[in-house]
Amino acid sequence: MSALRFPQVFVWLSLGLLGCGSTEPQAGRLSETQLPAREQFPVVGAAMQRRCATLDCHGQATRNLRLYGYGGLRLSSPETPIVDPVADPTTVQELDASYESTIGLEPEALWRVVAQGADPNQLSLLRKPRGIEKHKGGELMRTGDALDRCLVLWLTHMADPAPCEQVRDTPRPEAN
Amino acid sequence: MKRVHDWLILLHAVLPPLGVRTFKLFCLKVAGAARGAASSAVFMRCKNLLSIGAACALSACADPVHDDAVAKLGGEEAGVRPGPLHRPGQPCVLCHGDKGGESEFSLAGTVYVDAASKTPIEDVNVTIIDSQNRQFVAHTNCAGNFFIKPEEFEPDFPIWLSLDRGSVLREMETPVYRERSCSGCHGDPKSLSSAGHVFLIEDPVTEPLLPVSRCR
Repeated sequence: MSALRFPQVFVWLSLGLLGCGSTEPQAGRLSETQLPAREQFPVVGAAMQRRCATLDCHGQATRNLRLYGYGGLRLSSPETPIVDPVADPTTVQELDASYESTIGLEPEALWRVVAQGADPNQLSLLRKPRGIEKHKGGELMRTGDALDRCLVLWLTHMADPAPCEQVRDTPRPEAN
Repeated sequence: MKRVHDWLILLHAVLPPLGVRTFKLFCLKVAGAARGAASSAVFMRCKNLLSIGAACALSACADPVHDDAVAKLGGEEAGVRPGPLHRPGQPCVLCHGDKGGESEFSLAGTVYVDAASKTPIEDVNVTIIDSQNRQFVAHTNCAGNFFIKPEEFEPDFPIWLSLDRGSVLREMETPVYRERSCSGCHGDPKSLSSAGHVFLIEDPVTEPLLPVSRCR
């Protein structure tokens, strides 16, 4: 290879390397099919609100996966003010914030699951409540139970409200 | 708080020289039992292990976040001695927990008559059902306080709580996943991040007014 042709080779090599580069999403470039469905989130969020979002867990402003809504941490704004933090139902703004918190937990890993069909079991969103990964709140669900199905189906574009509603409507336990 | 830090700095300054001398004497005795070349290796290993242990022990003494939280609670209320009636409405398990140094509680809190007042209410049954469906009932004293010792009941979280006295029953809607002090979530005033204090009577019109506590 002559010295004169080196810049050309460098340009072609660079272009080739760019072509092999990651196709992972960049900020603001995700389409709806690359994210779990926002329109299904109200029922998924209600299940998470019941199991994960109490004020002593993910209903704390200092935590990651911060969840907002009735029975937990509230989010008030001039557009959707919270008048009574204990009584007001969950607002659309709170659902939006919880949704963003959920999809922002591990954006790249979530994108691989939702857009590329990767195994959802790699996500901390499932591993932590299953107790596989260290979780301060301990084991909150088992593979295949209602909350697990609610989350897995939502993450894999097969959202089913039934298991989510089952979690949301779980009655108080009775004493032995 | 600053005083605690000052003491720690002083401890860190004073203890190592004292410690090194003590470790040296102790390890010389240990190494004396070994013979020949092994003796110096045993001495060094012994000294290193003791130094690491001492460093770990020293660092474990301080939890500035916990110390700060305790300091923010302030002193005892005038005329109330430390005991079952003290510090109503405060996060009991901050001190009565594994970091606090006081006798440990599994769960503790204060119940007030209603949402509007800070009048404590006694003889309220606080019923806890844990995730194993085991039940335990605690009772509030005249300060509205209740507390459960681990030897009485160590719940398996999450737990569900309810209050009752007479014909009034108030059930907590959400389970508790790990907080052992009621006021950890039920602090005053009610806000976006707090449910307000625990109370029994929600509607004084439909629910009978109950005689309140005598000790205050």
